[in-house]
Amino acid sequence: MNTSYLVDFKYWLIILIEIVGFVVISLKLFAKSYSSEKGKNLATKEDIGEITQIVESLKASLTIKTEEIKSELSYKNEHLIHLRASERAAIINYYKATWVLVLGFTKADLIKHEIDNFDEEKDKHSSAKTLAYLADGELMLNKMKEELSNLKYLRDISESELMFFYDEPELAAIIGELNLSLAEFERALFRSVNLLLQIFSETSTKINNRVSLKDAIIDAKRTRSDVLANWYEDRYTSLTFIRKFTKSLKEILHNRLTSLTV
Amino acid sequence: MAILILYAKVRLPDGSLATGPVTTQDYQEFLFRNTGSGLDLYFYLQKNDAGWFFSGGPTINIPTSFIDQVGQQIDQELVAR
Repeated sequence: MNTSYLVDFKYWLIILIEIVGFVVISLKLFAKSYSSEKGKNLATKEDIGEITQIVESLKASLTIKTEEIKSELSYKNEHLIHLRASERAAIINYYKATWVLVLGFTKADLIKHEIDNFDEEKDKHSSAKTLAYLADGELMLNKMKEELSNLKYLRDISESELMFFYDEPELAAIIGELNLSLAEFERALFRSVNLLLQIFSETSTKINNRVSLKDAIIDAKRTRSDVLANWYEDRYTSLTFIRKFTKSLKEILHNRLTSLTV
Repeated sequence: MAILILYAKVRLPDGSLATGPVTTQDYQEFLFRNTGSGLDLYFYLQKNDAGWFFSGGPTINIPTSFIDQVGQQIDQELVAR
């Protein structure tokens, strides 16, 4: 067998070139494949970063929007709660003011006992003392008129407040009827008070003019008796109407109050 | 001590009116006394299941209509309170 080629330099050179060539080609192929994969990964990374950025920005804008909506809803809710609380207070105030006025008219004390005990105590009474009693009686009746006018004023205010929130025809009709009855009641009461004031005034004049004290007081008592009897009759009639309307009023307002809690 | 219930009106047979206080001590028996004129009219009245009745006063007869009129006003007043 001829092995002389093994010592031939050219032979080994060719082998070396082939090996080097093979290694170079392999490295080239590897590098190509590596760089392609690396590039892909880098691109994916870049894409993910971009998407993450978009998502984060969306999230932030969504959070701001949600907060805005929540704040708006909270404000609207709070406003509604305040509005309902004010309406509830207006309803209760009006009903209360109405009854305070009705009771003020009903319980008005027109009998001041300034002349009631005259017969029993005639020996102890002097003209001056009787005049002082009458003056006290006048003062108290005038004060009562003033207090009732104040109550009426307060009720008028509460009525305006109620109508501001709750201006319904059904309620307006009942309030209209009630106001007419109250006006009639007030007229009857003030008429009686004015007649009593007139009686006191006339009695004082008689006493000052030296008319017999006994006669002056007997006359006063008789006239006053008629005034008071008329007052009790008028009061009963007025109260009958007022009770009828306050019953309807109570129903309407109660229903409204119930609806406010829903 | 007498409690004043109301001032009542009584229509008399001649058409005139007697007016005066109705008082009570116990809400069982009531006294009406005319103070609106010189007529000396007063009487006590009470109520049972059959209605109002005369329960005392002057010996002269008090017409039932007087009792009924005052009784009705007492009823109205006590209901109104």
